[in-house]
Amino acid sequence: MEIGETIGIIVRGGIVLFLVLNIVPLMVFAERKVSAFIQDRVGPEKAGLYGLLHPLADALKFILKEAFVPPQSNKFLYYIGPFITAVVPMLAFIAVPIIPVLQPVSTELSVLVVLAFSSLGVWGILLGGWSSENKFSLLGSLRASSQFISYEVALSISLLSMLIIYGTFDFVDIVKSQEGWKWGIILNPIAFIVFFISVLAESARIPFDLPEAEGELIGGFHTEYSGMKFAMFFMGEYMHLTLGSCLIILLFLGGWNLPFIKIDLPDEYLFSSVIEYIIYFGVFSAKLFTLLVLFVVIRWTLPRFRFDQLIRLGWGTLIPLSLLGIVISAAYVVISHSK
Amino acid sequence: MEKVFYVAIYFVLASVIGLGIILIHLILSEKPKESPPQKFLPFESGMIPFHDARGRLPVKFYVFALAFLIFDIEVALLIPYIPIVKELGIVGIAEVLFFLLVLFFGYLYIREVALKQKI
Repeated sequence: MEIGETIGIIVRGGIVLFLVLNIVPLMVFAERKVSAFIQDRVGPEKAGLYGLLHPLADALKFILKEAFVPPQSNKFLYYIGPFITAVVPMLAFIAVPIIPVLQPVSTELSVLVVLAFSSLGVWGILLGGWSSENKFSLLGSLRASSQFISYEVALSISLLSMLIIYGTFDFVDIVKSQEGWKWGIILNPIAFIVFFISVLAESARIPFDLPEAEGELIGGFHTEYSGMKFAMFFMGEYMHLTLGSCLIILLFLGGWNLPFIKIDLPDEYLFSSVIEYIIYFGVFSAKLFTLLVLFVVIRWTLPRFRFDQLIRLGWGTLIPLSLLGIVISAAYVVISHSK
Repeated sequence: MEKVFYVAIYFVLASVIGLGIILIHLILSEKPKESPPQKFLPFESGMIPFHDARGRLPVKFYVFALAFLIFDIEVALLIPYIPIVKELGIVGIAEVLFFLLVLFFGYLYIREVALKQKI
């Protein structure tokens, strides 16, 4: 280990964590404004310009609320639940290259690292629901964990079919091989559909928000949580959604590449690589913004599933579809090999 | 081994943020006032809870966990194939498809058992 690399990781990690944490209030704001637009309301408008400061006011209120712990609960696990839920998506960003220089730890196994860290998120919800000693919390966390593991199968099989096409575990290599028109969504559209639906289900958003179905389970796994601990579950959900969107962009939508255009500035200009990275960052953020707004629109358009429909969709439809995705990848491998 | 150290640094960075949020909340939060005993009951929409939550659980959730294990191990078994996709070529992908065919028969069985039960 070297001092320079260590400082580099702290700086890059700090920048990535700053960006990721700041997506949460932006998402809350976007969600309120888009829902207001869809339901023909005005939405938040009192604090700041166009209500931009409402998320900040919310955060302040969450922090100042009483730190109530139910006396019947297991105190340690009660605090560790929201902690894991909020920290695990941050950890999973360890190997996500928003642009090549902003990957906190660059490793050739980045896909596996991200997959491993992001699957840990179930623990937070399971521990939080179990430790708060409330029947509805327990049922909510059971539902959440069985939903998450059901859809993780489809998610990882469709991810595997994309990896067979690219033949590498490195996100940077994957994005580089998608230059021009060869985006993953064109090479394997079925895997894209399965991955998109699984990301929606993994981040527990409508139409898949069964773990916190208000009509049946009060608040689901966070019934007994209040104040900042509740907000941490919320943050975890939004960061998980952002992580899923980043994975969709890197694997299927060409990462920081523009379609049909290769961004390659001549080297003789001063700062040409810096300008290139700024363009990359702009392209990636534009794609991320589009996906997140799409998720918000989906949330305010569709109704919620029933639980048996959800399980049937996961095990009955998505897993055979994702196996079909592997067959498409096999066809791609055969074609590219016989050339 | 160096990479493990770098991962540990990032781990500490993220955990410090998480712990910091909880600590700020604990320090700045409103101090508890005198309150009625109903405040400390588990919230069940105003009903008074009649037994505690650590009861027995329906077994159907475990069936999905078992099925998940099988498919997760299948993904883990296919992971070593990824770096040598180009070397093995058509032979390799044919073997993968045969492996998935065998798995598909197992999947049909799970579908019969797990999906037909009432949830």
